[in-house]
Amino acid sequence: MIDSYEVGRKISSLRLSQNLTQEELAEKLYVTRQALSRWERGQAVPPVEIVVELGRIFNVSFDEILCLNETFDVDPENIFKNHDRQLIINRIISGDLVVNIPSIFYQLSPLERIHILSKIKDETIKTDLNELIVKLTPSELKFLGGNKNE
Amino acid sequence: MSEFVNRRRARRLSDEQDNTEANEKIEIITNDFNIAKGQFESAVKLFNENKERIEDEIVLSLEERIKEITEDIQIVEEDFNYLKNKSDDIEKRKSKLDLKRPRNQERILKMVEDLLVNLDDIEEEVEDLTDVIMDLYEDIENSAGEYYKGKKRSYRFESIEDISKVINKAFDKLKDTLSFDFTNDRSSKTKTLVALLPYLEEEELNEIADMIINNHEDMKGLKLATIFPFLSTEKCDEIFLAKMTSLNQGELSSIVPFVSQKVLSSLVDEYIKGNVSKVNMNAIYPFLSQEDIKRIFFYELKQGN
Repeated sequence: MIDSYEVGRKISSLRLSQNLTQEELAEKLYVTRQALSRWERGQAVPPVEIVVELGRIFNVSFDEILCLNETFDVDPENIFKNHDRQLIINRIISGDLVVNIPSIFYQLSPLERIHILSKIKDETIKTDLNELIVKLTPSELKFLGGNKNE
Repeated sequence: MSEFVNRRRARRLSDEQDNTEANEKIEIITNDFNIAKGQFESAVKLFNENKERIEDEIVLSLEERIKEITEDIQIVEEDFNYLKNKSDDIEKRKSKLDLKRPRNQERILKMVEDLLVNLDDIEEEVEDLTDVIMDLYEDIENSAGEYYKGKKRSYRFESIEDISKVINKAFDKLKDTLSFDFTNDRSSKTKTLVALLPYLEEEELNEIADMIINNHEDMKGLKLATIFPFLSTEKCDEIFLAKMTSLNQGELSSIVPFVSQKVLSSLVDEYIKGNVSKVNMNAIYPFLSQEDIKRIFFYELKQGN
């Protein structure tokens, strides 16, 4: 999965390395400055054809633009800082990112919490349940344990 | 201009003949954006009223999120105003140019095309903002603690033994609620259902999933992204396969993270064989495994050469 923030930083640094403004690069790509700004801020990932075009303009491979094969660290105080939220959630679920779930649980949105809980429920993720349970809302507790108890 | 950009332009040019689509889109975005801003105001009000009840570290995190959302709203608002002015500008230019001349037609089409691409982006940004604001609201509500827990108990259980009766009663109520036309208030419908989802059994969740797959009237307008975290991966896969050609880019991006890599990888196989041309691969590729992303790009590069 792609980290839109990393990709945004990469596009921005490639652009600056060639002393281009956002307007100039946007013009070369036949997109608006707003679209480019959105990609550079990591709010979206550019379409395939734009990544290919960026590769041509900067003479780099798509792997480099998309930051494939790159590793990154997370700040336990704010695991989402400078990263795409969904990427972090997916890495936690896939086991590529190991975190102490109870200690970071408060940083998750309600749906992210449910997503993680559903993976704990089907035992894709392992965690200290005793530590986690005290941090759950009643509905989350029901969701996690409901089916097993009845 | 490369073959890729040419293809992209040609695709858009064939669709847009005038500015009507853009004006309709502006109206929809204005409405959605106003709803989002209203929800944000309510969230900030709720936060200010309950700050003392929330733990300090959570207050800091919520304040940070409120600050970020405020900035994002400003950015989207600026971009949106710019596009609204651009739309007016196109109308003015149309009245001044001789549109029988192919060169002028091409100029106007290019402007409309750019405008529509940008409006698509803004529409997605507003959708993302709405999601973030809804999450913020619910987090503030949950963090406010006992005060809100008391309120929530009204739709929780009267007793553990009575659980299925309460669920059925709530679900009947939900079914009545869902029979109303929620097309202009999608978030309320979703919020009502999400509040009940944790209390539903797997069978009932599967029933909802099947209703979504079968395009049941009650499920129209429902935000799939809020239902997916509650469903099994198998059901998410089923819904994704049934809906992938009819969802817009924003909707697709929001549900792809719940779909198994096995299904996504098979989709890439079919895409490369040319069997699934209607799927918006731009919405899906950021969520693929590195191997599948590479396959898509090698395929696209081969197509472009």
